Order: sequence, then C-alpha cells, then structure tokens
Amino acid sequence: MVFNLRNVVLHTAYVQSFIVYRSSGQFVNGRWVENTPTQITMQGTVVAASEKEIIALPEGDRIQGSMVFHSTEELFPTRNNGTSDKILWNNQFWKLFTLGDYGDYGFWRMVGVRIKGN
Amino acid sequence: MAYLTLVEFEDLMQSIFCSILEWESEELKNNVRISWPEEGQPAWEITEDLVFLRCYELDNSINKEREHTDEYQVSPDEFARDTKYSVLMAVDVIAYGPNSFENSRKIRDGIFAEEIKLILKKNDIYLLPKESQITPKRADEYFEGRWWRRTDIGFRFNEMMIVSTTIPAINSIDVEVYEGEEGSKIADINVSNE
Repeated sequence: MVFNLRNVVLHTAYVQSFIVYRSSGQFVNGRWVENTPTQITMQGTVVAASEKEIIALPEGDRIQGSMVFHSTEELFPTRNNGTSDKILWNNQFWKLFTLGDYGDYGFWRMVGVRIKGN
Repeated sequence: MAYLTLVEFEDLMQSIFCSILEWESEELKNNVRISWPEEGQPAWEITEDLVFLRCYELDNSINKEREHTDEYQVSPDEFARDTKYSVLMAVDVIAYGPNSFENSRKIRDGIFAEEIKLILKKNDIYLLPKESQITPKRADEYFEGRWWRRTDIGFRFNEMMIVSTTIPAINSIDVEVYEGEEGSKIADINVSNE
C-alpha cells in the first residue's frame, strides 16, 4: 500500500495558496523566447529552506534566500518546451532550483530561490 | 552611430555559423544558440549536435586609438564629427554532440570562405587568424555518469566602430594685441567666419 501524504500537505492548519507561473517558449534564431506564462493557483505548505542572506558587495547589498514549497500538483523543472516553474508567494518570485518528485506519495517538493536580487 | 550592438553582433554570428554548418532549415537553425540566456533555457541531450556562441569584447591596444573626421555644416552651424576606431571582438564557439569535433573543423574551414568574408566585410568585421584559436580543442565533459562530447574553438575579429557626434562651430573670436609684456593695447581685432 502506497502511503499518500496529500492530506498532510493540504492540512488546514498550515495550507497556503501560491501562484505558479508556468513557462513555455521556443527557440527563435538561436535565442530562447518565452511566451506569456500560464498562471496556476495551487495550495500547499511553504517553509523556509534557508534564511535571507545579505551579500554585501561593493556595488550594493544582494539578498538571497530560498523557500520550500510542497504542492499536490506537479511542478516542472526546465524541459524542452519551457524553463523552470516560478512561484509567486508573499509578493516575491521564487524560481524552482531543486525538485523532489514524490508524486507517488501525493505531493511534489520544490526549493525555490528568491530571484529579485535586492 | 555605425556599429553593431552586442545583440546584433550575436545575431550576425549566429546566422553565419548556421550558414557554415548548413543548419539553415527550420529544424536545425536553432541548434546554434547564444550563451548566457538571462532566464535560462532548455538544455539538450547527449545525442544532439549543438553549437553555443559566447561573444564579448577584449581589451587591446587597437581600441585606444581614435581617428576624428570633422565636416562643417552650414545649417545648423556646427561640425559633424565621425570618430573611428577598431575593437577586438571575441567569439568563443562551444560545440556539443557526437559530431562536435567534425563540426568544429567545418567551422574552422568555413570561416575562411569568400562568401563569409564578404558578409563580415559588409559589417566592417575582419577575422584575425593569428589571434584566433582555430585549432579545435577537445574538451569532453563528465556529467551524470557519462562523457558528453564537447569541442571548443575561438575566433577573434576586428570590428570598426564609427561614433557620430556634433561639435559646435566658433563663429567669431575677439583678439586684443598688446605691446610688450605690460604695454598698451595696439590692436583690437574681431575674427569672424562671415
């Protein structure tokens, strides 16, 4: 019997909504050209993967950080017809950096990196 | 201004290498790709023949010399100045795939072809064979348990840059002539271009 953790990910005590921006595109004369991304609202849990870190460069402070998103719908890394999913959560965009495919157990786990830079 | 932007230079090189490799069909023309995509781009399989181009400028003594040509224009009352100089452009070619080494050799031969030279010349770009690394360098990569075929080759070009600006003209100058070091003024002249 396969243990399904879907209900754990969607538990009302800590479930949140976030929007997945799913990329699609094509190569045009050697350059990757993105189409308008498809927006998909998903629900799941969101926890910190690492704390926000300030990198003090001579040119300014760069902010980096990452969050872990668990969802019950599939998330996509870069593939032939699109680049990695991005998630809009807490007014910030997070780009999929690692992906754990636990689809057999009812969920996907993604580590997203903060892409804003400042 | 008469010079290519970096993007225009990359696009020109992309079309030239497609032409050399005879990858001009809809299916193949995107197998010559530009490196450093801002948002990333899909990767490729070990069986795919692809070429990546990295284009950038290199520092060189040649880009420190300037040649100015000024041409007077009546209206508006100014000089049109063209500043010409040459820059050293680098194109690093990274070929992947089972035929990467042979494709690199094909590129090395094709870059010297007359029709390619003419295309480059039309854009004021000239190949520098002595400064280029035109020997294909085998550089296979070990990734996820397999050796991926890779060959590197590099070219250097001089590109002429023409920067156009305007210089205001001097309409008149007042000249005062004095006698000796602390003498009295002996002449008051206005020099004008009218």
